[in-house]
Amino acid sequence: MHEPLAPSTSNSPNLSADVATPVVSDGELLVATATGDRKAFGELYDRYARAVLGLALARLGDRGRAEDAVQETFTSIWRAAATYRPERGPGAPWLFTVARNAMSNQWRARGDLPVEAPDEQSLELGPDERAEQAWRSFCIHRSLEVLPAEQRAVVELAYWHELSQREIAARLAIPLGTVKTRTRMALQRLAVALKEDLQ
Amino acid sequence: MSPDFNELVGGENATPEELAGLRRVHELLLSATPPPELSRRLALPPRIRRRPPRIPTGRMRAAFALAAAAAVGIAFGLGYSLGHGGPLLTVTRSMHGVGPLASASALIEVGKSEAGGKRELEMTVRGLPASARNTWYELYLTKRGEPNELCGRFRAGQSALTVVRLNAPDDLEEYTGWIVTARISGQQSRVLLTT
Repeated sequence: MHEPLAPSTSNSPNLSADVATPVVSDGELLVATATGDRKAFGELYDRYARAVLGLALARLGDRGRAEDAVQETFTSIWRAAATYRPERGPGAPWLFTVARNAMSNQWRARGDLPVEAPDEQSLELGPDERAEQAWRSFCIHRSLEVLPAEQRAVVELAYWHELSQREIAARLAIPLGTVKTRTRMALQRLAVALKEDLQ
Repeated sequence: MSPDFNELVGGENATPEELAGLRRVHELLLSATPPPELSRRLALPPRIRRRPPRIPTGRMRAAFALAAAAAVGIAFGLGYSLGHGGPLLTVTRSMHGVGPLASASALIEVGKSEAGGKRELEMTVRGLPASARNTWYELYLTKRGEPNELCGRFRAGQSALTVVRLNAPDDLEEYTGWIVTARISGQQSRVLLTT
């Protein structure tokens, strides 16, 4: 997702500030997890739990089963981290595949068919497009975790609570200019984080 | 009301390239479902063993590989035997890219035995280049590393992910692996993915 988090090439100080903060890549966390590093495993969990839950909810359609799948996914990640090969690519696709495997196991365990519950935007989509959308949502949900809390808040209020910039300023009791700055910086950071996976 | 890009970002300080990147993110966010909140149950990672299994090296690896191959063979045989009119049993196999497409990957989900001696399978492939004219991909079951049974042909589009439904023979226990090859009309194929 953000492997590595490349320095911004922006010429604009307003947009590029703090975007290039170095982070440990997902692949490096997987390699550390393979050695039994619980802290690295916890960091992976923090980065991916919501993305995996989102994927599971879309695929299984049931909150209880989706939560089971999240736990199964991370148990599998702990067990299988040693099979991750950094030279074969970044960690996100590997984690996505492990998550899908865990969800397949859920179907098998129950002996029924996948729900593949589509969200509103995917009602007319075929299997390719649904898979593409699942990957895209997985990446977007994952990328939100790279944002500082104050930037993430303005993004969530703008996009999923549909508040105007003025309403966000009032809700958070901060100046309108601060809302705009945080929003721009959040989008800039997300653009960097999503660049590799969603080209 | 959806947020307005110009209101969010403006643009007086950004280069056209930056603005294009930001607009792409804006559109992705508009198309995305809200990220779900974690329940208390998921607030922490699941309980795990003290250490994950380690990859053995040297002679141990060879011995483990032999043992694992035997175990997989037995499991394959048992699983697919049970599938013959037995309880519902599906199998999932993952594949990885080789050579220049080392970062490609695939997941194969094989369904239960159906009438006509076939099993339906769904393969999700990531990272295959879009198919050019007169080119296609082929999924084979292999015996001792050599392609043996063609499960189907498919083409990849511009999406990063391709999902195809193909068929596999009923007697999967006869085979040792899977490969995906690239085929250009009139030319020899080359292996891109393998189990």
